[in-house]
Parts: sequence; C-alpha cells; structure tokens
Amino acid sequence: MNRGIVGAIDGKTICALSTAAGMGGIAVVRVSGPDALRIASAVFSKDLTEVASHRAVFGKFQRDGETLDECLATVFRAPGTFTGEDTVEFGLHGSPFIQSESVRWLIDAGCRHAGPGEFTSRAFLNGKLDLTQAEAVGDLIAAEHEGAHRLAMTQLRGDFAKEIQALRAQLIEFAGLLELELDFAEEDVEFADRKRFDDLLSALLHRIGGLALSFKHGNAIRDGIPVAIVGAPNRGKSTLLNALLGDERAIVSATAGTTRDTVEDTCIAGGYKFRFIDTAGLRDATDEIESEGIRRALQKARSAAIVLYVFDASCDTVQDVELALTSLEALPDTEVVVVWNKVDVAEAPTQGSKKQFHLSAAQGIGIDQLNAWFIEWAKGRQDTDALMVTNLRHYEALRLAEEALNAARTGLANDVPGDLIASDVRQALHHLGNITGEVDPEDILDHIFSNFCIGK
Amino acid sequence: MIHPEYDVIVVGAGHAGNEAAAAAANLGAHTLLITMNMGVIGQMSCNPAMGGIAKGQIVREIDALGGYSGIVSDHSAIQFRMLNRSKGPAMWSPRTQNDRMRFAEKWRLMLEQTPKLDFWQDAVLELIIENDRCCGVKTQLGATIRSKSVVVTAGTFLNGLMHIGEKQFGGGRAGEKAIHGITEQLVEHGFSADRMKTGTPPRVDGRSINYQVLEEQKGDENPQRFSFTDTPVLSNQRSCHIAHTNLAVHDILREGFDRSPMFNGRIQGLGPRYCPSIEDKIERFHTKDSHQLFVEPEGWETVEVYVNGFSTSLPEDIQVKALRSVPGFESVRFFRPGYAVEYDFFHPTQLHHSLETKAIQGLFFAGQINGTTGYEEAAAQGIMAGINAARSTWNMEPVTLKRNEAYIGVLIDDLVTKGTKEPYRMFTSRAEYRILLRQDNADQRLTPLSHAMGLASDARLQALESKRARIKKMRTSLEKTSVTPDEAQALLEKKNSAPLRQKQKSIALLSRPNIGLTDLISSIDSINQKSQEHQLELADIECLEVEVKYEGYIEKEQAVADKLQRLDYISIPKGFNYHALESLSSEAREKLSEEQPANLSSASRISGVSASDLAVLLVHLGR
Repeated sequence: MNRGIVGAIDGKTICALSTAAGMGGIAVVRVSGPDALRIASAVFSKDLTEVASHRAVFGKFQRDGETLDECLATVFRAPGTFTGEDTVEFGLHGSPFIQSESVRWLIDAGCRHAGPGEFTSRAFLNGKLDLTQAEAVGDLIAAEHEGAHRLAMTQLRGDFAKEIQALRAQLIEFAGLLELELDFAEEDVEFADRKRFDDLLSALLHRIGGLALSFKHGNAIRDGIPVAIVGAPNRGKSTLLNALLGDERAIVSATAGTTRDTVEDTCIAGGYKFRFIDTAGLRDATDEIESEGIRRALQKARSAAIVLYVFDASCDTVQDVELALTSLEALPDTEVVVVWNKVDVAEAPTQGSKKQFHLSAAQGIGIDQLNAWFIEWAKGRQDTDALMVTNLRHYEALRLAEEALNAARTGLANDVPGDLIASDVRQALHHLGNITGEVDPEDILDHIFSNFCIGK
Repeated sequence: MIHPEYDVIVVGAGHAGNEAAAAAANLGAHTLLITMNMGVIGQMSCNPAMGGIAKGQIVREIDALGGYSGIVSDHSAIQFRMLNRSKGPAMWSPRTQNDRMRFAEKWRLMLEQTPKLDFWQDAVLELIIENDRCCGVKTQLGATIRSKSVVVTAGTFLNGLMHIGEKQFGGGRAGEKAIHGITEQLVEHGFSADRMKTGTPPRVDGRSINYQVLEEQKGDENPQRFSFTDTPVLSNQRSCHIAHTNLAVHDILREGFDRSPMFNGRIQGLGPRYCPSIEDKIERFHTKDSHQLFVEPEGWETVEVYVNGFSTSLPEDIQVKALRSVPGFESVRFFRPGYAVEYDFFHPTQLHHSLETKAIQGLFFAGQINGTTGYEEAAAQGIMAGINAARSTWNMEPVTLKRNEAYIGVLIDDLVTKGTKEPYRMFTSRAEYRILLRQDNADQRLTPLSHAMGLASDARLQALESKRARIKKMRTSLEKTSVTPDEAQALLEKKNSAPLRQKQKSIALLSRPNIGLTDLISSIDSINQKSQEHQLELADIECLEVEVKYEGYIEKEQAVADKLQRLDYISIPKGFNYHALESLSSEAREKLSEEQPANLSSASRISGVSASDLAVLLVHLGR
C-alpha cells in the first residue's frame, strides 16, 4: 500500500530544510505542526513556547549542552502561517553538515521528516492556498519528487539498498511463517520456530542499529573532513594548527583522538566541518623513537582526506620534499599539500608536482588563502546534498523499524500470541519497505503460497 | 404483465443473492429474488461448513449488520468450534459444521418470512440495459421484469463448464444447467471477463468408512454461536474426523495425470492456490509424503460424508482407486465424484466500492462473479450489494465499509482497487488492522452503523447497548475492587503465577498472562459477586478480557488506523478528470481514470499511483 501521502495529514509535527540543499549563506529549517514550539524549544537555548507570533529570537541550536550553531529562531503561530499550523523557522548557517544535523536533532526530538511537498499540502489542506496556486505547486511537487526519486535511486549506495532488501527478505520470510501458522492453523503446517525467530530479530536489530549508526557517523561530512598535519619536528605544525583553528572560528569540540599520540580538533569553516589531526606525538620525540613516531604519523596521515606536509622555508630543500612525499606513500585519493612555513624568515624554494602554499603560521600570513582553499576543496568533493536528506529519511525509517522489531522481540520473550507479534513485524516491514519500496500483505501471502502446501 | 416493476431484482439465490435480497427488502425496497430452482435456495455447493479463520469473522460481521448467514448457520449447525483459541484474540475464529439440507431450508424459510421480498423461478438470459442503465431482466420463460436496479450473483453459472477426467459438460453445479448469454451481453457493453476454476471433492457413504482408524475432531465443550441474537446453542454435536493420504495414494493419483483436465490444458481458468486440488498438491509439493483429509458429516441424519482436502477433477476410476488406498477408506462407496468447474467472472476493478458496476448504472455484482471464492466472501458482498442497490433506487449515497472497520471492507476494497487473478479468499493477513477486526467486537464495529441506515433492528442495537453497559460496569468494578493475597493465592498457585505480596486491584490480575476473567469470577468471591450483580454474560466476559489484556496492541493499531483513515475523508468526485492533471504521472492518470477511486485512500492502494501523485491529488482536491 502506498502510504507516503498519509503523512501529509497525520497531524504530526514535521520538519525539513526549506531552503535549497547545499551550500548557501543561510539555511532555513522549518518545523510545522501542533508540537512545533515544544519540539523546537528542545533543541534551542531558549524557551520558544511563550514567544509571540512573528518574533525572532537569537540563541543557540543545542541539546544536552552540545551546540551545533548559533541561530535565529522565528516563531509563527497558527493560523497566520504558511501551513496554517504553529511553525518555527531556524535560520542556521548554510552548511550541509548543519543542515542535516539540525534536521536529525529535530527528528530525535520528535518530529517526522516532511514528505515531498508536505508543507504545501498542509498549507492547502488548511485553506492557505487557492486553486491557481495549487496548480502550480502540483507541477512543482511532481518535478521535485521525480528529482528526489532519481537521486534516491542513483545515490542509494548499492550495498546499502542490497542490505536493506536482504533484511526485508529475511523478515518477510519470517512474517510468512508467522502468518502461515495464523491463517492456516487448522492444517498440518510447520510452525515458526521461536528460537530461530529471536535469532533473526537479534541479527536484524544488530544490522539495523549498525546502519542507523553509520548514518550518524559514517560519512566525512558528518564527522568532519580529516586533515592530517605532518612534518619533521620543529616545522611549526602546532602553530599552523592553532592558526587554522584561530579564535574567529568556532571550535566545536576538542577531543583527543582515539590514538593517544595524535590530537584532533574540529572546526567549521565555510559551512564544512574539518577534523584536524596534529601528529603531536612527534613533537617531543627523542631520536630513538622518532622513527616509530614518524611511522605512526604517516599511517595516520594516509587515512586522512587531506595531508598538509609542513616544511620549513629556512632549512628544507626541494630534495627533502621529494623524499618526504615518496616515503609518505599517500593513497591515490588523498590530497597532499605542501606547506612552506616560515616564509617571513626565508624565501621558499619552488616544488612543482603538488599543490603548495607559502605561509607563516606564526605571523598569520597566508592562512586565509589556505582556509579558502579548504572550503573550495570541500565543495568540490561534496556529494549532491539531496543524499543527506534521503539519508535522514532512511535514518528515521531505520529507527522506527528498530522500535517495532524491539517490540516484536519483547513480545516473543513474553510469549505473546503470534497475531500480536505479527502486528509489530508488519510495522517493521512497513518502515523498511519505505526505504526500498512498499510491502504489501500480498508479498507475505505469495511467500506462503510458493513455499507451503496448504488448503483443504 | 404479471410482474410489477420492482425496486431491486436479485439474480441468483446463493449466499450472495440471499443476503442481497434480504438486505434490500429489509431496507424497504420492493425486491424480487429470481432463481433457476426454488428447491436449492441457499445451497452449500462446496463443504457443509461456515466460518473458519477470517471467514468466521466475516459471518459475525454480516450478522452484526443484520444479515441472515449467522442465524441460518446457528440453526443448522451440527458442530461449533472456536478455532485458534491458543492464539491472540485477532485469530479466534468461529466455525460451524452444518447440516446441508437444514441450512438451505432455514435460508428459504427466513427469506419467505421477509416482507417485501418476492420469488420467481426462472433463468435470466438477458439484462435490460437502457442508456447505460440496468432496468430489469428478460427470462427464459419470456418474462420481462423491470426494476430500478439489478444485483447479479451468478456464482459459477456463467458459461459454467464441469470437468471430471476427460469428460466435460456444461453446468454451473452438479446436476444444474449453466447460463449463456449474460457474459456475452456485458462484454458487448465493454466489460472484461475472464475464466476461473474451482473444484470440489467426492462425497461418499459414511457407512463405508472405518472411523476406528481415523482421528476424531470434536466440537467445543462450550459451543458458542455466530449470531449476536439469541439463536439456539448446540446441546449435542457431531464430530469430524481426520484421515491421511500416503505415497501409495499419490502414486495412484499420478496414474491419472495424463487424463486430468488440470494437466492436459483443458482447464484454462486459474484456480485458487490455497484451496488446491489433491493432484495440484502432490504435483507442487512432491516432497510431502502425506496430506490431511477432513472427513465432514453432511448433516445430523444423513450418511453422506464430504471428504475435505480431496478436491479433484481426475477420472472417477482414479478417484475411487486412490481414495480406497487411504487408511479407513479401504471399502469406501462413492455418492458423487469430485469435479472441477470453470466459469466466467468479471474483473472486479470494474466496480465501485458500492459494488455497482462503473459502466452500467443500477447494475450490481456480488459473489463469485467478482472473482471470489467462499460462502462468507459471497454473502458479505451480497449484503453490501443489496444495501447499495436499495439505496441507489432512492438516490442515496452508497454505504461502504472501511478497511479498519470490517473484513468486508478489506474484501471489497481489495477487489475493486487491486482486482484478482485467482479466486480471492479472505485471510486475516490481508487485514492491516487484524487486532481491531475481531469476531468478539463485530457488533460494536457494525451494528450502530447498520442501525443508522435502517437495516439492523432496534432490538440489535439495544442488545449491543446493554452489552456495552454491562462491560463498562464490570470494568469499573475491576478497576475499583482490590484482591487480597489470601483471596488470590489458590488461583495464582494453580496457574503458576507469582503470588501477591499485597492487595492489588482486580484489573491488574486480569492483565497477567494465563489469568482469565472466568478464572477470577470462579475463584474470587468479590469478583463473582460483581459479575452477578452486573448480570455479566459469556460474550461480555470475552470482550472485556480482550479489551484489558490486549489494550496496548489494540491502541497501537488504532493509532495507525486513525492516521490512515484521514485519507478516507477526502473523497474524489465522480468522473474526476485525471487527464487534465498534467502533473500526474501518465501511469497514474491511466490507472486512476480506469479505476475511478472514491477517495484518496482507495487511490493510494492502486498500484502505479505514487506518493507524489497522491500529493498532487490532495492539492487539487483540497479538503
């Protein structure tokens, strides 16, 4: 059954990015529905429930003490809003990371991700649009959906789609067994093995949990683009890091890396999140263990998206650079950049094969250019942004499937009758079906008919 | 002219036709029931049983609406079982074994006692169609009978063709003639028709069966009833028996395959996958060494026995030889061999939800003509077609049931939105809201609605209201009164349930698995007292118990149903021009124009209609 549109009028509070996805000066994330003010307040530093209509409040987009961005929250109270419902619009910085993350936080706080054209549908349902406007909007929705659909199809990573399909197939098989023992209880059919079912549920939950998590942490945009700063001792790596992190940029977190010999700092620049890996362990290394330190630093560097190899303009030569780059053995898709530091002290030699910057970390010379390059680079590497929106839907569907499967598992443990467990399994199938296509009771019946002999 | 003009003419007096005629007449429409043979009104053409899983729920729904099937079944029952008792409440399914002759007799008598219902024995050969409107029928005897609407319930009679082995002969049922001409007439009017196949097993002489080696299947110790009215409760019952085929039986059956109309291509129609013939079963599931056979008595006194599970169209000599290899049937004597019948059906996607055809106004179809199988499915469509045929004569809006209201709603919605290729049978898994569509609450779901349209009687509504009041009072009592550890000790020990440490509200005990309301009433005095004070009946106990024990699940499904139901309220005007909506996908435009769904929720179930198409429609339709 096609349930996509049902969302338009299920009375839930919905949220979505309202401005075009991708880089932009500002991103508007809109929350609409009966609980809009309450849910919005949950991710905002100030209480919005008492704010008057059409008022903007400046504050932080935050939860549990973690701040995502500083932003403007504008409150619109029903019925004088676009959708005719209570609405909050967050004006955030226009980065893909902030866009996707803010919507994800809102979903975690109780919103549903809006379906295609859903704000408009709600507006129409609440009598906010006339027919002429609706005609135009209808075309738009269709176009939008087609685009979204194409994107979803082409961008769904093959292995992910396959994985979900495989999970669904397993679940359908089991749902079939459950339904079989319900609808054909009078006949000598095999019954669903509860132990096997529990194993399957636990495996499914494990995989779905893993997938949901992979969306949280999986891609570079979410985690920050890893940038490794490497170089021989005393080349000014830490100084460069500090200059890059400079106080005009927001330091999101300062967590020590998983390996203790590196320090990682993240910052957001131009709407992108970067994770700097300073191979700090090298700094105090003695000669004996330096080689080991370098080996580790190089290993770390190889996993980064960008490697900043820092050289000292006053003492390093082009030969040093060649030698260093060779021993780096960077992976083909790692961007290696040569940074000539201390250009205020000496003029740097020219080395042609790699992108290079001349700067003085101590004096702050050339830092802006390097920063600008980072942003350009990130833009170039950025996947089409719709992927993230799609991902958010998937994330939501996976979470709901997880919830239903957990309920089924609890039911199983408590010896709940099959018809009730089947109800949760169907919910789980429905949510997984939302990712790969719809599931219909007919799927399950087909499975039964093709595999079991039934019928008096 | 000997016939007056009727409001409604019902063609066919099987399960669908009878319910249609009763409903139309009871709503006040002057109704004529035409059958080829007044001697076989309400004939059970297949097995002598009503109800079963999903079907039992349907019979209760028909009864709650004020139909006759439940009452007729109760009066003619020889055995009652509530199937699936060990499962959850959604699965409890009433089933009766019936006396085939008494069943038909009770049907006939009930119809005869229905005011405004006339009878006419004749064969309808042609429909009177004027300006795309059906206004009567022409019969074999040369009568032209006019009416405002016509319900056709042709069963397997349209171009019916029976097969036994290599023999084939025209007929709708053993010993009854087929009807030719109506399919052809409707096809000329643009209808699309197709063939289906169904079959029945042999019927044998019960005196020739050795029951000693068969497994007995008794009726319930405390038999219940289908009807919510006060039909009689069985005081004694007849048993069924279970037999098993074996490899020797299968080998004999295979000998006849080359003469089987199923395998030599003579049968074109598609049969049901879930009610396969025995030859189908051994062919498709050749790894299975044995199949179950249910040996069902045909009535209280008759010696005739129905061999359920042995449906076949193999030659008689093979049928006899194979059945005689089944333990217990060594010297079995046949009364009638099994046979297959092929017949015409019209793709049900050509119907509105009211069961009126889209092409011809005033023409309604119900039962096998719509591609379904089963008495219950037929009767369910019959009552709805009868209701809507009557209402159409007064230009009233049709009544349709929703998927979250009744299995009948699921059935009709599936048929008219998805269509069917094989004979459609109801399963509980077809219902999204299985936990809501229970047999115990069919009256609560449907009687008020039916009473409001004037079908269910005042007495039915009053009975429902007092039932509700009693349940409510008892629930309040359970919520208020407490049980002490001493009072509960004996029961909890017996049920292996943890003892109480302190006083607890009675309702909390009821939430425990294994503890039923009957247990509480029988072992705890204070609760027993309350139950007597409130005059609690057996059915009330069941309802209340389900309500309390499965509250969480019921609420969860209700929430999903409520969410979906909002789409039902957005209706699409008749004749809506989908082709004018450029933003719809071309497939959606085609499908929607063809199906003409009544509302957005039906539109959402049409394959090829995507979420964005619905969004477009939603926008265009507004509220």
